[in-house]
Formats: sequence, C-alpha cells, structure tokens
Amino acid sequence: MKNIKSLYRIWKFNLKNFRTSLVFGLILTAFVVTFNSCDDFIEVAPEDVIDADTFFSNPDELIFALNGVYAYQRNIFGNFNYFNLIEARTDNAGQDQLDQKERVETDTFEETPGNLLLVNVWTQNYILINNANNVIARAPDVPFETTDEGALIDRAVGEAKFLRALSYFVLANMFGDVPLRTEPTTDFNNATIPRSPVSDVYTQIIADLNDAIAVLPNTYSGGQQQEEGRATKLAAFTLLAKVQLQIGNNGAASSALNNVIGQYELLPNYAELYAAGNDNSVESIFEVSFNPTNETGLGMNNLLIPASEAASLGIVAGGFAGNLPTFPTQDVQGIYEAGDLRADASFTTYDNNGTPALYISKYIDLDAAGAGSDINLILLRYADALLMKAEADGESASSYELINQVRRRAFGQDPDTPNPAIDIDASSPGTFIEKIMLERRRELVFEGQRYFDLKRLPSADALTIINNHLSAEYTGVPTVQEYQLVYPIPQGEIDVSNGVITQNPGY
Amino acid sequence: MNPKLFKKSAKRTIFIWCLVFLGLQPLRSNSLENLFAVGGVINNVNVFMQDRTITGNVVDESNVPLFGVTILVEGTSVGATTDMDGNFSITVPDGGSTLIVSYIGYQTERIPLDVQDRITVRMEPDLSQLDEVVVVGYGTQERKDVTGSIASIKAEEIALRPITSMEEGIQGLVPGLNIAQRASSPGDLGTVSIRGLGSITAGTQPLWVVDGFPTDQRNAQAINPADIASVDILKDASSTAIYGSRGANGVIIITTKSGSAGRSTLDFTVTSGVATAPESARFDVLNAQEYVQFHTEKNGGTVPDFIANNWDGVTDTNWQDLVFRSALFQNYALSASGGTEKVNYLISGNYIDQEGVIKGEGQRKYSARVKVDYKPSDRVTIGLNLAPNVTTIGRNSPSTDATDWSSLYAQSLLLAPILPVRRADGTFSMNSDLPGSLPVGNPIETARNYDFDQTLFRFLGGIHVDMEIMDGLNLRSSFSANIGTTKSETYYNPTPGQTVPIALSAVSFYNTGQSQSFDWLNENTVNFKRSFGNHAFDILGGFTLQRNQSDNVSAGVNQLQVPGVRNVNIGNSETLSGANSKSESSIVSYLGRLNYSFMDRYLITGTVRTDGSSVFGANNRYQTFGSFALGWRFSEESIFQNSDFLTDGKLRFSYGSTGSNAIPPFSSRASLNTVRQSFGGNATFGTILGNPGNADLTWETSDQLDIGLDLGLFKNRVNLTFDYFNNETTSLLLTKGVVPSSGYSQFLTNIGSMRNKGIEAVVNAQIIDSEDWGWSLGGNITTNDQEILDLGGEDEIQNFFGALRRVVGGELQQIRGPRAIGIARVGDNQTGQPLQTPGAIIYEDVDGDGTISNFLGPDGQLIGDTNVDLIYGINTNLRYKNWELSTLLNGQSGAYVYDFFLIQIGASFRQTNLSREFWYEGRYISEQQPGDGRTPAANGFDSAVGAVSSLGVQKTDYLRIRNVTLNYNVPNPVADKLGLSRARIYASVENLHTFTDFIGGNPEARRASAGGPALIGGSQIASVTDGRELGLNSPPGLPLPRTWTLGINVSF
Repeated sequence: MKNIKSLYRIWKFNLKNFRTSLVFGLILTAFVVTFNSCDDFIEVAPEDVIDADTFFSNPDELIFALNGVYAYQRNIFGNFNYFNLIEARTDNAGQDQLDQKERVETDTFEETPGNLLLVNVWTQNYILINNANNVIARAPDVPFETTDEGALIDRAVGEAKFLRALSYFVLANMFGDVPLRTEPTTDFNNATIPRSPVSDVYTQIIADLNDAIAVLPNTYSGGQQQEEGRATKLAAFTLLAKVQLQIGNNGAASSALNNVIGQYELLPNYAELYAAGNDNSVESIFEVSFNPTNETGLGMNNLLIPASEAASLGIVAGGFAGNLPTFPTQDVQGIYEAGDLRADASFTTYDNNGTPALYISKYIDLDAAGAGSDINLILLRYADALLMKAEADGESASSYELINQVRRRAFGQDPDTPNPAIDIDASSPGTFIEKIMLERRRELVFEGQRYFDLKRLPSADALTIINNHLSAEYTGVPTVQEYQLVYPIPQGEIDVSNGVITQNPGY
Repeated sequence: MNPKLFKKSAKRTIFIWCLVFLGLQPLRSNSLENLFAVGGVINNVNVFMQDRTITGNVVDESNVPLFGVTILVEGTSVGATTDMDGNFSITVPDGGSTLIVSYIGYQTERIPLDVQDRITVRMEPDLSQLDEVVVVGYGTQERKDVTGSIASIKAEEIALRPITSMEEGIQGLVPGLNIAQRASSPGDLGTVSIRGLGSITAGTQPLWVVDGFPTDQRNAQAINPADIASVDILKDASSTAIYGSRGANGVIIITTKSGSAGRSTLDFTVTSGVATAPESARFDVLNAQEYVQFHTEKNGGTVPDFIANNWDGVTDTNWQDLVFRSALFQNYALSASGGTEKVNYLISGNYIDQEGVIKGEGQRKYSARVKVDYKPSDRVTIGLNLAPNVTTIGRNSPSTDATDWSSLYAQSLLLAPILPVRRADGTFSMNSDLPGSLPVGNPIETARNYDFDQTLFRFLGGIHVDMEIMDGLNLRSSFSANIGTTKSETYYNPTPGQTVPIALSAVSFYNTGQSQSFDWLNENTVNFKRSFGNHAFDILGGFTLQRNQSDNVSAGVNQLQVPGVRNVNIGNSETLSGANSKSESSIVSYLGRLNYSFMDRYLITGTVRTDGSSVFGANNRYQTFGSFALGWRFSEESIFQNSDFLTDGKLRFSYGSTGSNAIPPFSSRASLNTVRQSFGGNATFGTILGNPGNADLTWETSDQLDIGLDLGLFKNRVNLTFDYFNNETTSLLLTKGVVPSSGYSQFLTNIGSMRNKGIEAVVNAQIIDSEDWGWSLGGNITTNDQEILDLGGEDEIQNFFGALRRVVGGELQQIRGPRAIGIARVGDNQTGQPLQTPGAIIYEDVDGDGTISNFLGPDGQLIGDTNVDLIYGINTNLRYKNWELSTLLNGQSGAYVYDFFLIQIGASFRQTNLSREFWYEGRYISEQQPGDGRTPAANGFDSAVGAVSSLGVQKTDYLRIRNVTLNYNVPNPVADKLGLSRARIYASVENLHTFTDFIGGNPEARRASAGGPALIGGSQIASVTDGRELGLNSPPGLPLPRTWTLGINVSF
C-alpha cells in the first residue's frame, strides 16, 4: 500500500514537472543529434597541419610530396657535412687540423663509427629515400581522371625513382653494403632490415633509372608541375652512365651516354657555370636548386670564404670568421697549366694574417645576403658526360676529341675547333686513365666528383694517391688501409638494430 | 623593508576603508534584514485541511539567536528558515510529527511535535571533523563515509594571507601536495605535484577542477582567492578514478562560495602592504674590493690588466640594489550573498594589484563572479555561475625563467661591481667593458629598452539543472564553457651603437601574439542516495562530453622605423613574419560510482570510468579505469563505543588505476611538414614526412594502492591521519629509437614504468580550548621514495649533454659528474688531477686510471638526484580573547639540483661577478689560510672537469616561515554598534624567512627548460613540460618576496 502511494507521488510529481523534464530531455537529445556517435565526437583531425593519412588525394598533392623529395636534396648536397666527407676526404681539399675533431678525422681517415658527420649524411639520405619511397608507394592509389593526370602520376614515380637512385648511389659508394629500402617505413616495431650486398643496391639503382628513363620527358614545358630543374630522361641516362661506369660496365655506360652526347653544349666561359642566378644552363643536366628569395639559398659556401675576403668583396652574408676549416690543397694548385681558366674560377689566394693562403672561390655570390646564395649545385653536367664517355669508350681518337672539347673551353677557346696548343692525344704524358682522371679533377674540382673518381681506380692506385696527399699535407697521420675506402656504418644504426646491422670489416 | 612605504600603504588602507565604511553606514543591518528577510517567509506548497502552525526560536549553545536555520517537517518538503532574531513559523501539514532543524556547523536536531505550538530549539555545535562535507568528483560526501585519501582546505585557513591565487595559499597545508615556486615574479605559476612525479614526459600536473569544470592550472590560478570556499585534494585511486584518464596525477577540486537561503551578508576586505627582497634571500655577490682581491689572487698576485685599466679604484656598484625595489601590494574584495527559499545568490568583485620586487614587474587581477540558484519548484534547481576575470602581467626584461643572461636579475648578479652604471660619456656600461669578458647587459639599460606585457582574460561560466525525480534520486545536467584569450606583446628597442648584450637581440623588434581557447563541457549525471535500515547507498552514473579548441596567431617585425610605435607595419617589411596554429581535442566519458555503507561502519566504494579521447591513436581511443575501496569505522564497534580516548577511527584501503593523457593532441597522427622548394628560380612548395604518428599510442596508466588510518581522539580534539601509498605508472610515454635508415630517428610509444611510494601523516591537535585561550597545533609530513623501473629496455636516458640521466633503479633524474673530494694542500699528490697547484680541486679517481675524466667518462658518478624525499608543514594557532596569532611553516628535503649558473654562467673563469658564499668565503688562499677545504683557490678551478662536477650540485633542503598572521576580532558589542556582524583587523607577513644552505635565492627555483640535447633515447615531446628541469638551475630564481600587509575585513 505504501509503495503504491509513493508511486502515485512520483507520477504526480512527474506530471507537474513535465515541462521541466521535456526541457531536460531536449538538452540531452540535442547532444545526441549533434554528435552521431561518441566515436565521431573524439575523431578530431588537425586543421593546421597536413594529415599524412588523407593526403595524396589527387595528382597535385603527389607532386607536392615529390617536390619535398627534391627539397630534401638541399639538406644533403648543400650541407657542409657532405662536402667534408666527399670533397675534403680527397686530395682536393684539406682541413684545418685545429678544427672540430670530427671534421678533421674524416679528412685523415681516422673517423670512428660514431662520427656525427657520417650519421648526418647517412640519416639524411635515408630520410630522402623514405620520402621517395612514400611517393612511389602512394602513387598507385592516387585517383586521377584524365590521361594527362595519369601520365603525371607515372612521371612523378619516375622522378622519385631518379632521386632515390641518386641517394643510393651516394650511400653505396660511401658505405658499401647498405640496407636496401624500397618501401616507406610504417611499422616502427619492425623497422630494422639487414644490409644488402652492394651489388643488389646497384641492381636496384639501375632498375630505378631504367624505370625513370621510360617515363621521364627530355625537357619540361615550364609552369606549375612542369618546372625546369626536374629530373629529365637525359639526366637519368647520364646518372645511369655514371653508375655503370662506377661498377665497370663501360659498354653500358657508353651506350647510355649516346643518348646524351650532342644534346647539351659547353658554356663558352667556365666561370659562368657557377655564376649566381645562372640556373639550368645549356651545360647543366641536373642540379639541386637554391633560391634565396624563397628562403632556400645556399649557405654552405659561406664556410669556404674567409670573413675578411667576404667583407672586402662586399658580401653581406659574410664568411667564416677565424681559420678556414676547409681549403684547397697545395697539390690542387699545381695541377693546372698556365692559361687554364678553371684555376682562377675555382680557388683564390687571400691574405691570411700576413701569409698568402688559398680558399675555394667556386661558389661566390656577391649579392648573397642573410638568406644565402643564389647558386645551384650542379650534380650532372655536360663536361662530366663528355669525360665519362671518353673514359667508357677507352683510348681512341674520338675519346681524345671529347676530352679536348672540355680542355678547349677551359682555355677560353671554341670547344669544337681543334687547337694544337691545348689538345692532348695518345702521345701526351701518362696513361689514358691518368689523363682522364687529371682532366676530370681539373674540370670538376670541388664539385663532389673526385671521391667517386678515386673509388673507380684500382684500390692500390687510389690508396697511393690518398696516402701521398696525406703525407704531403700532414705529419703523423697513419697510412690509409684498403678497408678504409668505405666509411664505417654509423654506430647509431648498429646500436638500435640489436646486431642485425653489421659493421664494415676493419672498423 | 622601507618603513616610509609601509606607513604610506597602511595609511592608505585605513583611509580607503574609512571612506567605504562611511558610505555604507546607511545600509545598517536592519535595512539589510528587510531586504533579505523574505527568506523567512514560509512557503508552503501542500496545503491540507488540518494544518497547524508552529512558531519557535532557535539559539546557539550560548543562547544567541541563529539566523538562517533550516526547519523541515520530516517526510515532507515543507520548510522554513529563521529570521535575524532566530524566529520561525511553520505550517505543519496533517500527519507531520517531527521537525528537523539543521544548520551548518551544528548538530542536526530532531524535534518531536507534541501539543505545544511554540518551541525553543538550542543547537549544539558539531565539533566532529568527521561530519565535515568533502567535495568528491561529481558530488559531495560526508568525511566519515570517505574511503579515499582526500585532504580539504577551507577558505578560513587562507583568508587573511596576502596571496594572489589559491596555489600560493595551500603550500604546506596538505600532505602529499608539493607546490614549488619555480619562479616568483608576479603571475608566475608554481609547479604542483601530488605524491611525487609519476611521469617522465606526459606531464606531472594534477587535474584542476573548478566548480566541476576540469581545466588547467592557469585557469585555477585566475580565480579570485576570496571566492574560494574550499579546496579538496584527491590523492588516491579511490577518489581520482572518477576522473579516469586524467586522474593519475591527483585532482585538485576548487569550489567557490555560494549564497545560502536566509543568510545575507556583505563582506568587504582591504589588504595592502609592501613586499621586499630581503638581503638574506638574495644571491650574495662580491663587492668591488673583494672582486679585485679575488682576481688578483687568480692572476697570481698582481692586479690583472682588465681591472687595472678599467677601475678607478673607487667605483663599487651594488647592481642588485638598482633592480630591486619595495613593491606595493593591494587587494580589495567585496562580496554579497544571500537568498530566499527560491533564489540564492552571490556577487563578488576583486581587485589585486601586486608589484614585483624587480622594477617593472607586476600583475593586476580583476575578477568578478555572479552565482545564482533558482528553485522554480522544490524539486528543481536551475543554477548559473559566471566568473570573468582579467589578469595583466608586465615586466621589463626577458623572464627570469627563460634565459641565463638577460633578465634584470641575472644581469644584476653578473655585472662586475667595479663597473659604474654609466661610462664617462654617459652611455651605459656593460661587462664587456672589461676586455675578455662576456657582454652581459646593463639592467638599467635593458629595463629602458625592453617591455613585455601580457593580458589574460578568462571566463568560466555554466548553467546547470538539478531535478529530484523521487526522494534520493537526482538528475543533473550542466553545460559550461571556459573561454580564454591571452594576448602578449614584446617590444625591444636596443640603444643604437651599443655592443649587443648577450641573449638579447641586436636589432629592435616588436612581437605580438594572441591565443584563444574555447573549452566546453556537458555533464549529465544521475545520483541515487538513500538509506534502507542499516544499508546506505550512494550511486552515481554519468555521461560527459568535453571539447577544447584553441587558436594562436602571432606576428612580429624587426628594425622598427619609428621607435615607440607598436605596429608590425612600422618595421622592415622584409622581416615581417606571421604564424598561426590550431589545436583541438575532445573526450567522451561514462562514469559510475557506488558507495555502500552497512551499519554506518563498513564502507565499500567502487568507481569506474571509461574515457574516449581524441589525442590517442585510432587503435586505442577508449580505455576504462576503475578502483575499489574498503573502509571500516572501527570506532563504531561496541568495544569502542564508550571510549574516552577514541572518538573516531577508520581504516581505509583502496586500489585502482587511473590514467594520464597529457600529450599534445595530435601526437598519434602522422603528419606532413611543408618545405619550400624552387625550380629554376621559381618558388613552389613541397611536403615531407613529419611526425610519424603512432596509432597504438595510449594512456600512461597509474596503478595506485593506498592504505589509510584516520583517528579522532579525545572527542576529536586530536585528529590523526596516516596513509601509505604506492603508485606505479606503466606504459610511460617515451620516444624509442629506430634505426636511422628507416628515415626516422625515434617515435613516441608507451614503454617503461616508474614508481612512487611513501607515507603521509597528519596531526591536528586542539591543545588548549578555553573561553579565553586557545592553542592548536598541526603538522603534516610526506615521504616519497621514487624509482624508475623500466625504460623500455634502455639502461638510461641521457639529458643535458649527459650530465642529467634517467637511470633504471634510480630516481626520476640523476646528476652525474666527477666528485670533488677536497682541496689540495702543499705536498698533496695531485698526479692526474686537472690542475696541480695548491688550492686546486681534487677529484675522486673512480676507475683508478690515474687521470680524471669529465662527466661523460669513467669518473662521472652519481652526485645527486632530484626527487624531493620529504615535505612537511607545521601550522599553529594561538588565541587569546579576541587576538589570534597563526603561523605556517613548510619545508622539504632530499632533492638536489645541478646549479648551472653557479658553476658555469657565473663561474670564476669569467670576469662576471661571483657568489660570495660559493667562490669567495672559505676559499684556499695559502697554507696559512687554507679555507674550508671545499672551496678552491681563486686559480684552483678548472673548467674542463669542474664545470660539471659535484661542486655545482646543491642541496635544496629548506624550512620556511611561510606566514605569520596576527588577527584581532573586533568584539561583538563594538561591531554591533558599528552596524557590523563581524570585523577583523589583521597584520600578516608572507615568506618571513627561509632557513637553508642553498646558495642564492630560492631553493625551489629551477630553470624551465633543459637547454641541451638528449644524447641517447631522447625523451622530449614538444610542448609538454616534462619535469626535466628538475635537475637544473640557471639562472637563480628571484628571491620569494617578503610581503608585509595590513588588512581589514568586515561583514554586515
């Protein structure tokens, strides 16, 4: 009875408060309606950054991701670390022995696996590779509507493969066997893979370049997505030739270069090559783009110019205060004949507190301000192609003609007009390969080619050159051994891998 | 303390107050009574035929009439309240047989109705602390029923202190709660932790809940301290599990005052005073003579050239005196509250003006609150709570926290005393005037050129509807929002042609930024609270939604063309920059709690909460947290029933898990970064892979055990509480290294675990309690033993170049370096030591290889760790008649800090000024004056090994007299004559003195960022304060100001 009474009370009360209950119910309903489900409510996507999962929804976005891979090349090739490991390592440049220990060590082949320069170059090449892998992996799922768009996607994959091949070429030369990654990293708990034999790496590089050759155009028409400066079919042929030459397939290198020879021309004046703003010239095959007005200027060259020299030249960006960390060797000064314009275009004498000294002056932008220099780094150019073709074909009159074209331009002459005062031939001193190497060194000095050239020589010859250079420049530096022709694998990679990644022998 | 200033401010206080008082005279209590006595009118809803009217009078234990007492007819909703004279009249419906008379602070009386129509009720005060109401998440509970570990602070305990925010007030009062004033400029936030730091990266801040709204510390700090009714600190899983994924670091619930029916009051407080930086708390440096003496010794006995050529032999500048000042403090608070049966209200306003002891620093807080509860019917309440406030903060230098070199305080410590303020040509001197020294700027010049202003606006408002569906069953729905904007600007205009001071810009600049946040919360709860015989139930269920959105916009420009104009267009347009960011997160929750008590002595609590949070990975969005607890009020057992000794006794046990979600909203999601790219000189843009994301990312989970004992002895004159806690945090958010060839170096994941365990004890005793005399003494102590259990397989994580390390088996942060074991005397063997002269430091050669390595080498050893092992507080209150003297002390021990400033920035190898205590007093001078055996000779410090060694490790133990307050309650007859219900006059001093061996200022101070890279397995997540700063101090924190105030508080 009591229960019935209390139930009645509740019912009465509810009636009385019906309106309140209604309002209450409406509030609740409003929330339920606003958010279809709680899962939706907590699904919040960032609005101010690009979500990696939803990107790549159209070909334009794929191109942006590809642009990022190109942009990342600046971090590698425009970096003083790479310059040290590739250029100062050779007989072209020396290091101030009082400079940072880790830099000096790389010059004298005394670096440890923990060397930060090595870690840096290793890591950055793999970041580039991972980004390229991501473009390649995502491309098949990018929706497109027209055949042009479909072709654009194919081309993007070709460009990404070209860029990936370039980084693997650098890694293979520097480190030998390296982890061969062709998929973007997604599973962090299983991110480690073992090193692949360097031959497998080269197989992948060659496959990538052949894929690129199949889809890349000879030139770009200009405008958005068609910018001059992207990897072309001819750039892929040139890089393929360089790769084949590096692994001794001279025939393959020569036939790849057949597609390139005659397609470019040498600039009349050697010094114009690195003139500020002279981007993508008739001689340039592929270059890394720097542009101070887009806050992407080249800054590495500031470390090559003494501050006093920068001041007297009126370079606002300034130069390196104190002793130059990296400078031309005395040896490199001696390789040029009288009248060779390449010497003056590559290094200059300055007054170092009363004693004359050399600095690398190849990359000077007189207008450089805080945002860096307007100078692109040319990775592949026609003079290199001509010399590679000569090397690939071996000693012959036509090969000498290719070398002489490069030489004639170096002396300010017309490349195609024979000039007995300049030209060399079989009777000139030295073996053919010595003549090729000398000419390459003169032509491509401080352009990051010498390291690769030395590696192409028989080990004994390369070691002789390196040890002669070291004993001439420094005292007390240990003799370089054959195992040191590749760098040690960075220790950080080995540590994290729990033994999956092995060290190069000798280190 | 400047007596003149003090007199001035005291005079001002009295004058202002007289004015206000005169103005309020017409508002005598009678008229107030008329205004608000409506509440006394009986509001009878159910009118029946055979009603009878009962009238009566309610008095307290000394027969003083009580105003606002609630009288209810049992079993009905018929009620009334007493008027100003304690009288009431109530119409009792047919069948009503008992009146329930209740009043806060008094025992509830049940009056059976007989034939009398007029009754007198005498109320007995309720002395039992156990009947105190405790705020728990989503409700309240009586203290006696609580099974968790909850500490409460009532408004009265902090009311008379010159504080600008609640967090300053509660330090030292609660066991397990550690508040460290890392920086002490006005407006700076303290670092708050409960029961130790339980996380490495994911934040160690407790959850702040303001009137039910889960928010952050800045919003809690913004509250007018005079509005606060209580602060409840929830410490164990039993009490925090109701906050689920945000409860792991404890919860601090702030409840603001409300009006209550029948009692209308008008309360006004004026406090004003002066703050100073006492000499004893400053970083003591050398005077000119000592400076010259030191450098002469360092130079081998001849005055070095940099002094000889630059000192006139007379100049002795005390740079600190130039930057410190006596700072004024003013606080005005006004509140009115009251209500009727239908409407309760509270209106308050507050203005605080606090100058900093450093010139140019200060904050002003303006706050208001309107709180109204309306009862359209006796089962429905609609409430509104609106609290806007504005804080402005300003200073004339980069903050003390941000930089080693450029705050005014740091500059004043570093500048050599031999420099005059101005050079002969009138320009400002700098330390670089001494050749070879660093260009430390002149604080007078910096203050002229630098200006930082910040304005914070916060608006916390909400409405709620409560509905009693049936007896004991309540529905509550609320919607509230917290809107905030923060605007800051920095203007700097360096003197043209001046050498650029270190850590300051060479060019003029102006930056301005604004951030906005909008945070809303909807909570819907149902609560059933009812007793059935011996069984009492309190069941809660709920569903809540919360979303936070924030936006930041900033712009800046360099090279200002027209000095003084704050506009980004008046600068070099090429340097104009702008940036914005947006963030958003949401959380959806289902919660439930059961409290069951049997025979009022066996208690069970079970809590569960499921949270879904947007910040975690798609695979781990939801997680359920829960706890259970048991309580046994053994004092209710028959053997204790008539004990004179034991009045109350309760054993508590709780175990449960809670979480921490303090990571930036989008960490779990993979994102792309944008990069600039050019082709052939034409600009375009590109994207590269950025944050790798981790779809498995989830909460850090803390498993917490608490065993507690509450005792009330001698009729609760002595209360004791003991707690043992053991909190283990698992799935710590750490970054894990991946092979660099993956294209990444690390990713954020859940690995690792750590533990905090300890004991808390509180005692409060009313030692003397007579009419004229009263003396109470209270104390609390907390120990904490901290250990890192696992770092995801790594043995250690190195921070700050490896000088700081997190090591498995160690405390949260260890300091590593060579240990200095003495100062060399003539004839000592110094082979292998970095310096081999008498007076040089001798380090311990741990590996015995005959040489001393630096901190990274084999001689680096554990030289200190950062966990605060012990915190304690002592409070006492002595009353004689109308006079009351209360004192609060607090302290800590067991934590060390690596003092980067002492040993690196302000070290003897620089030509900056030096700590007298560290470098000068006690130094080795000669065999005849060998010093204290710890301080090297002026030339006995080597910067190679010494710069990170035990020499720079400081103990941070201290005992502080935090507050002393003398209060005079104006006797009632006098107050009555003035038309007041209460009047108090009080004098208070905050931070009277700190006893410590710590050199330089404030032992709680820490640098805010670690300032160096992690070498192995880095542990930093951007934008999370991760407690790494614990190991470092640089520059010294400002001395805590000693603030003297005088105040008057009156109520009508």
